[in-house]
Amino acid sequence: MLRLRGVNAGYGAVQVVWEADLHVAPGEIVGLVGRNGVGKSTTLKSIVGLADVWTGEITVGERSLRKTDTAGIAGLGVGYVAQEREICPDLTVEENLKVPLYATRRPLERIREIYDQFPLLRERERQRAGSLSGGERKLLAFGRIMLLQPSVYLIDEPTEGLMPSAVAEIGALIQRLRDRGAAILLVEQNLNLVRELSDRIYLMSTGRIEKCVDELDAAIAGQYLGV
Amino acid sequence: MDQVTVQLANGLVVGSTIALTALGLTLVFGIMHIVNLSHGEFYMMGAYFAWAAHAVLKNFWLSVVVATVVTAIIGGALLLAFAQKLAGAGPLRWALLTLGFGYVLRELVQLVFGNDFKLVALPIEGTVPYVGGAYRVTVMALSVGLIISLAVFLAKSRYGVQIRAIASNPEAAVVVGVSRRTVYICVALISAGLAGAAGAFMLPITSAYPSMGLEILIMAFVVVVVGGMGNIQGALLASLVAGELQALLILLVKPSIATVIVLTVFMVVLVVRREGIRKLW
Repeated sequence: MLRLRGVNAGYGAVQVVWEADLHVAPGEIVGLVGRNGVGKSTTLKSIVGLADVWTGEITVGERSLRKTDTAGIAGLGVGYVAQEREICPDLTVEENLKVPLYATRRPLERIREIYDQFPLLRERERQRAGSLSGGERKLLAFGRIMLLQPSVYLIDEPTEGLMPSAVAEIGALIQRLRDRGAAILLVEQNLNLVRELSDRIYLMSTGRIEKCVDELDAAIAGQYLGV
Repeated sequence: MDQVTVQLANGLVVGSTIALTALGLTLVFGIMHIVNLSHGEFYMMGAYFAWAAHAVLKNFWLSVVVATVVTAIIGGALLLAFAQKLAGAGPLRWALLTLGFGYVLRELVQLVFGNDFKLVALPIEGTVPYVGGAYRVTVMALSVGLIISLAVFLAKSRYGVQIRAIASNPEAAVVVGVSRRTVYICVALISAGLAGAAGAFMLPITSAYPSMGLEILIMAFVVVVVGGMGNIQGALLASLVAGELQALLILLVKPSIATVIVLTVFMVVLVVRREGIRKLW
């Protein structure tokens, strides 16, 4: 489904990711872990066109994403849940949910499905999104992306700064998306969650994806994450 | 008392004209991050296009529509061309480029239309009791109508919500499919069109002349900065205050002195509150 081959990416003249290779199949959760600043988020951003990609191939199915802009990539079924700045804070919750539907000319009735899944968002529909709690913002961020019904999810540190109950809710949500057949690439610092959710885990160090493992044991965690 | 009432009404006319110009300026800054110092020239183009259209069509209101559309297309195309060529440029480069471009536009207008004042007769004669000239009242009503239409468009329409999404957080907007290019096209057309409409409205009052854009730009720019760059409500409030203050001061001092006092008051506001009035609500 999602495949990266030899991707070199960064921002302006600064290269952050070197020769990245990875793939994620439908119905699979694949973790991408490493210390802070090794290029995990940039790898995700390079897939959706938010970082510069100089060489390499990024494909979803047979389709290359290299010549498509970020909005077009969203239309092709790649959903990106950012680590921060993941919503439009000056818009209401409802307007945030309308944006993807307006942009892709889909019926607004779909918002009801999101409200059914996240009743909290229905309660907050007239509230300015910038005033939501961290957990509510994450749910809204997922809701906006889910409205596009992507086949590939790129999820960047979804539980950072959240209460344990919210972490469990986000974990269950990611599993539900996987069960619906989505391919999920998950960047996460919460190792317990990565171990619990991921079918495979790519390990990243200083801008390079160095290996892929099925289990994240203590030795590997110590080597790649310093824990 | 009657004189004060008339001046208050005049203040609304002046304020609504400044608002039409300032709204375009603040939209383009807030969304496209362009400091457009040639925006006053779109206002000037609106007046000249209205005069030219009136010479052919002999119908003032139709000429206003033509001038608004033509200015929107020409001004919008210029803004989009700039945005494409200078993506990511800092405000100083934008300011220098558009300042120079405004100069070129003024020279072009002088070349085509000459230096003399171009005037058309008032399309509506008569006065409204306690308020003033019927045409001024009509212009005020039309300007307020345009401002309300813009507000409804931004609040409710498919494209308006996408424009606000880009203004609020561009990254969060594009990752759910919002096309930055489409938003830029909408904003560029609206911005230039509003300035063109304001210029066309003022044609029977001030006539069209090459430096008229520079005069409105200074007031509109100060209003936008005081309102908080990119802040629509702030620009509207500051426009209204500027218009009313100027109109009332004219009862006491010469118009040019009134403008100087208004600008001085706004500069003092900026010294006291560097972020303008953005954080007041």
